[in-house]
Amino acid sequence: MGERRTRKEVAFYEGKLKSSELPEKVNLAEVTAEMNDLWEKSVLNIKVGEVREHAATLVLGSNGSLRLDNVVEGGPSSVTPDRDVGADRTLVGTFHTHPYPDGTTGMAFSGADIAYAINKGDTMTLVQSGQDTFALVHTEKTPASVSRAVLEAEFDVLFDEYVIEDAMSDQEAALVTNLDLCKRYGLAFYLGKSDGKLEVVYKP
Amino acid sequence: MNAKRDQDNVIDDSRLWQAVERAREKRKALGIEAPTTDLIAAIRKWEEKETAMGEGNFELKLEVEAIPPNTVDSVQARLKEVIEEVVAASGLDTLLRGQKPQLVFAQGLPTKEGVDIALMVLAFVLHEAPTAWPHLKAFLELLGTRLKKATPRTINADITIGKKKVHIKGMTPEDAIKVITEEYEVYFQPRRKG
Repeated sequence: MGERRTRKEVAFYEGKLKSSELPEKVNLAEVTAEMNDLWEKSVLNIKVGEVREHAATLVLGSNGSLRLDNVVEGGPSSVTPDRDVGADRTLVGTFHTHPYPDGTTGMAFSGADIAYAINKGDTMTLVQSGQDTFALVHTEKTPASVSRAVLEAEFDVLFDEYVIEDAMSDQEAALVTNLDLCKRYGLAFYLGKSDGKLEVVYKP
Repeated sequence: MNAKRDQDNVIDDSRLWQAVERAREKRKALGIEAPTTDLIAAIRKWEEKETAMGEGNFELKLEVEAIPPNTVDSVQARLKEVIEEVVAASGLDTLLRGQKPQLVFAQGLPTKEGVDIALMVLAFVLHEAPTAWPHLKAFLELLGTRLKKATPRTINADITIGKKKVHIKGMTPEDAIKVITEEYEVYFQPRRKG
């Protein structure tokens, strides 16, 4: 599959495309089985109220194949990705899960996630929460660094407003807060299901 | 140092879940039930809001007469200085997201009366028009104050923010501000209370 990847797809995962050149659709089929497996592991003990975030590193192999390496288990609401990849691989970004003990799913990126994606300069950052998959994509309009504290505070303000003033659900509020912050920080945003087929929602 | 580095490497989502709990408590206090989730509908709603808010091009043309002993060059240099100061003082620079306001100086334009005019065009894109408005207003007011020293002068401005367009020609800064303020004060009521 990797051998059939087009130059443009490789350029996308290498972070070489401009915002205007970003694809409308992204197919992560090569890694969806692992992503779903990590989701299942995240909620393995949810019946007893225990969840654990899981993370992995998204890499592009020398043959153009996409894969998830360095699987790590985190805590109930945090995880530390292992970013150490081999010299023959290109680090694309990270993947992690968003489980919640009461079974809430469909939660997009946190303010900390967005700050992490920006500050690490990752091309693509993925989150899976149940059947929903979200992606942030770095562009030429993304700043080199941001304050995590500021971004988390911005997230809180926007999220609270959407919940109360627009009567949105938690998932909807998180999603549109993500879009606001993507716009503010020049990130592209993709949304899809656990089959790995993502569609662009916002390009800066 | 190591603690900071460790912190930078951790993805800590706890504030996301705190926000969720806070939302649930607020809904409970207000007696509101959590609505059904429809992410696609939420995206459409967000896109509609964005369209309504719009992005806007701001272009301001300043024409200042260079009355001897001033030269066009010296007037342009002063204009540049004033614009840069006023962009910073009004907080407009915080909304430009890394854009450098484009300052374009045309060549001095000789008038029929033989007086040179220094023409300066200031252009930038506003991405969040409603939140930009207080800064834009402050910018114009400060500019008016600073330009009082450079009379006579006129402002030509083409401002597009969202669907609204304002064209101003040959006005003093005071009159221009009045027109822009009147045009925008209703349109730019903030959607939310901050």
